[in-house]
Amino acid sequence: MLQISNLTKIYPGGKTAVKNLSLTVENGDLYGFIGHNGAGKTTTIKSVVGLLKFEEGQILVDGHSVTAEPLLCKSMIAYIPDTPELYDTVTGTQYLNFISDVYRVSKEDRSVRIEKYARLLEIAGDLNNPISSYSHGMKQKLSFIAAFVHEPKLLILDEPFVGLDPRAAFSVKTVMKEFCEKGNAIFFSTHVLEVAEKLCNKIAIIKNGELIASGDTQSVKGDRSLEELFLELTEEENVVQ
Amino acid sequence: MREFMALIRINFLSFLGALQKKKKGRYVGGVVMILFFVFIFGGSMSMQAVMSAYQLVVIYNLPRYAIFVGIVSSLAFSLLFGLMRATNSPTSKDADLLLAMPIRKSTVVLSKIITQYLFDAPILILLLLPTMIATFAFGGLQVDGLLRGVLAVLIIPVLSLTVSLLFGYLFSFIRERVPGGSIILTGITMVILLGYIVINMQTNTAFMRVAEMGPMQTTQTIEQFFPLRFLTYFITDGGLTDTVGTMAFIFAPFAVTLSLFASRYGRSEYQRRSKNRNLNFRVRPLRSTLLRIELKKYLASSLYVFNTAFGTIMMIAGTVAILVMGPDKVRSILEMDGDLPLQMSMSQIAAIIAVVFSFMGAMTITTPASISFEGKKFWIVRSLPIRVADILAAKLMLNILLFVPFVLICSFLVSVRFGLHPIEGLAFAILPAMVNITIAVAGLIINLLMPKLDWRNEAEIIKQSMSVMLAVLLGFAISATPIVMYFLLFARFGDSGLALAGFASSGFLMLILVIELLILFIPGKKIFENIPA
Repeated sequence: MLQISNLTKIYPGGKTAVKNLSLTVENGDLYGFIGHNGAGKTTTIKSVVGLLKFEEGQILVDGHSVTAEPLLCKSMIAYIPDTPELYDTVTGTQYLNFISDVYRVSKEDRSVRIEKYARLLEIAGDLNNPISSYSHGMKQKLSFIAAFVHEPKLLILDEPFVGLDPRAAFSVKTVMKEFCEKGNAIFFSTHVLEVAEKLCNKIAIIKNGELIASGDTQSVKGDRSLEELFLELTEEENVVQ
Repeated sequence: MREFMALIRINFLSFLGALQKKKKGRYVGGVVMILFFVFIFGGSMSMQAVMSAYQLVVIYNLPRYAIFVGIVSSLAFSLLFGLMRATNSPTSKDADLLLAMPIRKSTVVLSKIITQYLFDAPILILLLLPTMIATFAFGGLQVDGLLRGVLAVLIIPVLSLTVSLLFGYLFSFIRERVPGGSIILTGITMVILLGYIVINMQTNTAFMRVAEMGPMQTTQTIEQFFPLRFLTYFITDGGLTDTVGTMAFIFAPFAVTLSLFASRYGRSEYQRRSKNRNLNFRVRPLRSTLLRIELKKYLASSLYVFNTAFGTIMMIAGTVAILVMGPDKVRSILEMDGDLPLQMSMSQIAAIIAVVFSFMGAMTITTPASISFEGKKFWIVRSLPIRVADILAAKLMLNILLFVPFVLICSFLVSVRFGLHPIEGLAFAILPAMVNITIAVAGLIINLLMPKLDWRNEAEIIKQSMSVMLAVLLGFAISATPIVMYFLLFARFGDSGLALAGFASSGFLMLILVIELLILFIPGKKIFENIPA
């Protein structure tokens, strides 16, 4: 579903944010992307979504290059950033209508999906309020609804659980699992290692722009907890495949 | 005192840090542009003040009246400045951070007020100080009067501060609690600005007429403007009553407003909530939905609307005035009631109006800030499967819809009122429309090359950005095209040459437009895709 090959991103000023990163997300994967602050997670994610140009490498979404066929790739992806800055001056419903129009979701489908996810995330009563009145968590929830309304094949999430209340976090995790069980894929970054350990069937650990571990969660962590592995790996230069 | 100075310092460092984030060349360019405008604006206002002071002190021997006129002009501008400032929300984004620190709330509040004063005062001082110095230089004031004048110059900006804080909260109330509040607010501020321009034009003439009537009439006029009487006499005479009156006039309302500001500082903004629980799902075509979102974002920003739709508003107001006055009255105004040795034809007057409309079209441009205006929300359009051409087209279409339909209607009405030949009417209608469209596309290209997405305050991109300044300058240059065309190529054809110049200019602008559109949708597309989100 997602194939990143030898991705390298250098920012103006010479900082190499990501160096020679390669990983593959298959259909059905719930792929966790873990790293310390400034490791290169958001840079990688933004490169996949097409928000950043990269210097070297290739990113394929369902076999299509994000540089050569950006619109096609974007039509298959839904992206939620870590701090979802949304259009404050419209209501939640208007924003969802806008997203639905872009993805050409029919009136019936958007009605069913929005009402379903809005009820699940307990935000239905707030959709007619301006987004400026939303808390961070509510904006996150709205972003999730906007992501699911057009039924993407690949969900790219950057720190998706920040700001969500426990019930909403549980609902989101349930939806994520169902999403992957249907044959779709999720690639998300997180600092919450327990969530990654419980939720993800595959993980990758990035340190200073380089991948230091990747693969099946159980094989990567072995008998240790993910936290122990992470602390060990990010302290020493070990590479586990 | 230590905390107070630390707070003032951090406010200035934040401002300077925002400037230094730019690339060196753009930073230097931006500073040069700002200085250029300050010198031009300050220079022209100073010239006006000196000329007025010369007339009133030297020719009419009315030094007190000269001070009074200077005070009225600068006070009016101070009030306007304060009102325009008030269109920005008065809440402070760092309130939570500062109030959580071991610093007294009064210290925090005072630091905010002083910072705003230090930023606002220089331009207001630039308006009134030349009057004081000129009046002193021409012998209308003694040294003590000059010193009192300088003191008055330093305290008058406090009134502007009072207005901006007071009306800021009133405007916030309207914006937050009234449905469609942003649009209402924009309408109110436009009316205020138009009112200021109309009143300012009339008062300047009226003041000179009063001066011609002699010292008794001028004294009577000063006495009629009760609070300003104190200020005037404080500067010229320095009596106790006038001093106390001046301080009360300036500082009493300020004290009340300051206590209001302090009491509300740090409070959360009111959030209006809808009682409607029905979700309305409506399908729209992509281009329509993109334009709709652009329009919603635009109308939600009073500052953006205020700074860009002003040309259209002026044009409509001017058209109404022309229709009401009729061609003969317009001719008489343009010929300055016979003072100018001219006899203008209707075609010439219509041509002048078309050029004026073109300049107004140059003022009605949203595109130089439209990409920057996305700000931190830029990721939305960049991550969605929308063609870049559609995104850019939506931004262009917003600009065009703000002016072109209105100019076509206004031009048609003026043409009919003036009894112009249809060909002439067409020439004079197309020209301002072409000017606006050409500048709109140019503005978008400029913003593509100079986007600023990391702004914290809308004013940074709507009023202070290099992109907007360059587009405005270019706009004025483009607006002058028909004038240049006429005098270079068509003057020898007389009145017929006017319409020919109009069509030729429109044709020339069409050519420029084609080139611009090629630039916008070919390399411009790549530039857009390379802007990091």
